[in-house]
Amino acid sequence: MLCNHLKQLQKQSIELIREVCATNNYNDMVVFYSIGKDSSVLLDLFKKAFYPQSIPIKFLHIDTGWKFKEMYEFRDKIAKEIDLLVYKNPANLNPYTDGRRYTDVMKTEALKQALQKYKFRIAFGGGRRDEEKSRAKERMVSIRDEYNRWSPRSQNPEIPPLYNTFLSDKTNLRIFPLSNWTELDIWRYIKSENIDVVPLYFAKERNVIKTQPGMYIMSYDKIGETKKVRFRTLGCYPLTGAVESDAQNVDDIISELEKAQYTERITRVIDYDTDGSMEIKKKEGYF
Amino acid sequence: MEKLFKFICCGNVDDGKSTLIGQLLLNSGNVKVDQMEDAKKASQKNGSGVFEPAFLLDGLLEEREQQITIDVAHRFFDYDDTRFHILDCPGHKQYTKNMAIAAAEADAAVLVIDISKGIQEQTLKHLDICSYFQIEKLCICITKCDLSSVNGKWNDEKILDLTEKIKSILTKYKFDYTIIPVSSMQNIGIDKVLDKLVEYKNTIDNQEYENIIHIQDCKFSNGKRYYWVRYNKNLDLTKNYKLYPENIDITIDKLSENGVLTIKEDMDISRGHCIAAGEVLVNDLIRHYTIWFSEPTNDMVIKHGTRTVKILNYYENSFKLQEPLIFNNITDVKNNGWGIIIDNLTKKTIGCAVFLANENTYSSKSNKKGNVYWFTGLSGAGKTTLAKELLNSFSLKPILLDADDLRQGVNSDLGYSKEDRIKNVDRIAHIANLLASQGFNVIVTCISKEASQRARIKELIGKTYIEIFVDRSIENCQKYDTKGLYKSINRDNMINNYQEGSSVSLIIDTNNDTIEVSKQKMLNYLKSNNLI
Repeated sequence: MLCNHLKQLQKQSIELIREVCATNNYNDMVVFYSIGKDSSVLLDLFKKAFYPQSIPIKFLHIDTGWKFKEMYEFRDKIAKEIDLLVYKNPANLNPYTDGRRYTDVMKTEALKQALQKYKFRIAFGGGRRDEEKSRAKERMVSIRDEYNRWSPRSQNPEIPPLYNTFLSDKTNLRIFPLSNWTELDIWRYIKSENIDVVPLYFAKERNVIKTQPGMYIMSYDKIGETKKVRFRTLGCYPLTGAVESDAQNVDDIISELEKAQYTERITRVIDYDTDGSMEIKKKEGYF
Repeated sequence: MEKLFKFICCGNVDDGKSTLIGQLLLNSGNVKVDQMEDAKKASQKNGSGVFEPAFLLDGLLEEREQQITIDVAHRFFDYDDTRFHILDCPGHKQYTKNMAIAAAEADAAVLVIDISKGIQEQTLKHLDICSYFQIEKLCICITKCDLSSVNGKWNDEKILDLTEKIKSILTKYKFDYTIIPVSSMQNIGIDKVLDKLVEYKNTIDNQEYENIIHIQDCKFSNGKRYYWVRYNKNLDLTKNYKLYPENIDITIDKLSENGVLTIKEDMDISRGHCIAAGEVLVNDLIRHYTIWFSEPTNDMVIKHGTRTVKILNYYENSFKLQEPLIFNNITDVKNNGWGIIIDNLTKKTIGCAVFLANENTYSSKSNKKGNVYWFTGLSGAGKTTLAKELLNSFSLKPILLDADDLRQGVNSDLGYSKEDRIKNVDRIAHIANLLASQGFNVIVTCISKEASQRARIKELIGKTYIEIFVDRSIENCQKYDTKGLYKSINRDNMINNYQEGSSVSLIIDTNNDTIEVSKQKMLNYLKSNNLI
């Protein structure tokens, strides 16, 4: 049974999804699917929004080639129930040797290439305002220019529940139905709606390498040590930190998070490398 | 959590909004270690070096560098079994529009006033906007009280003085308010603000009903119709619902948790329809107050509910639409009382219009025809003077059609022969009727001395024709002949033989009554007939 505020968040998200769908062509739209917990919730909301019909919109996964193997397994399972496109930038950069360019090319550039290739103009994403400071400033219906760039100064004034969901010749749209959800909301929703997520979120003995106190990265080689860890966020495995944890199921995760001292952001290299790095990436066209 | 409560934090620039919110987040236990570390770093880099709670807030690089808030930031904190959603507003005049959009969706407001600066222009502007958007609960914080301390003690006299000033300004609003002196940097008074917010959220009634459903789209499954719907508050499905704009009864079959509606009747309902129990207004002429984010353009649409309608004519306080909206006066149903204005070319949102449909002339009966106030009488009788007096008695200004003005333009081809004079009056009547049919109130000043012609006009316009005969004798008219008309030989014809007729609604005797008395008589007539 959903608690009251989650019911309201769910209603807000579904109303937004439907409003965008009712005022635009399905062919122009895509749902950005990252395989993570937010994507799982977003997928669930799309199913509910279209029930009893199936979802008529394509999903898109931007692959870097460096995701966790458990993510690929999960993705292939989900691909049986949705219309999923997978796009990978042929540049094939490497996170170890290409540094920051890796993220720019394999994520931001790749996303823009895919949108152009399939002529998608409206992209749904699972971004939440509590994730990062610049996200807290972005609209739920976010205007991007023809090159998919975000300009914080020329955002539309937005007053929910009246969204301006119209495209012009020179604009694209990013839609964030989960804007007002927090990390805990996501987990409480996953629990009450019994949503399937990648097993990496649950603590298990895993082969890891210590990078800094309390932070580990996954090792698929023989090197490393065995630790009981879990991942709070999922991305490319060399850039995603695991934390020590005993949370083996959703209930454990919720009680762990209720006491958590840190936000999930510390486990993500992309958000954490420089001050305002997410804002800069958004201005370049990232989600 | 049981509730979701949205409030804005507003006030003049630099009056301490971000610091106050930062401290609220800290006191409610909603700041994590890494966020605290970031804020400390930012305090060192961009601030004084001492930890400033404000750095927990501003998100854009430009904002942190300039230490101002440019755009609304959305923050959440959980406290007392409630999700508090803070809309942190910019205070700078240039960004007032960003404050306005936040106010539109808020349940309450926290307004900060710097004790050393007192009430500023922006403070008043923000109060106005809160009031426009029907925010009822207002918590006013007198900030930075520590900075005006005398001998280490807060300056009570200064606080009291400002409190009195605030109170006197608030007499003209309807807020349920409280005033709390605080020091965010020293964390004094912040807990009182938190308590107040808890008190406010407890007054929010989760059981409140609005019973207004907007149809987002019509879908089919197994040959059965169902609808995607949008609604704001709880729905009481036991009530009798009607379908708008058709205004016909409808029976709700089921509304699922995910907002899927089915109805019993087999009807063709589509996006833009509205199903409601209780009064809604259906009109294509709407009185409004609009907050513009950029200049109005020639090609605009308004979006409200699930309708997007072209604006045919835009006036400062009203607009005429291609199709009616289904709405409420904002003071009756806040959530159904405003719309956004979108430029049709760029698709940018350029304004937010608050609907003020409380005037009798444009009330619940849809597409009501406007009134035509037809001033007739001799030249110099005082028609134009009285018409102009009347013009200002309406809050929605009527359109004035003065025969003398029209003779300069549309009727410039006509002379003063009997035939031409009749044509002249007929054309004016035609224009007045066209305007009235589209909902406008029209005031006409025209000698129109033929009784039979006025009777025809009355028949043409119908029930909304109100004839006001301004009765002044020829002798008196000549005395007040400001236009010099009675000296003109050509117009000799027109001054004679005014024919009184049965079409008249009201006679104003300007031989004996002053303008003031005449005006009062007109107003009494309008009031007693429910016209104003």
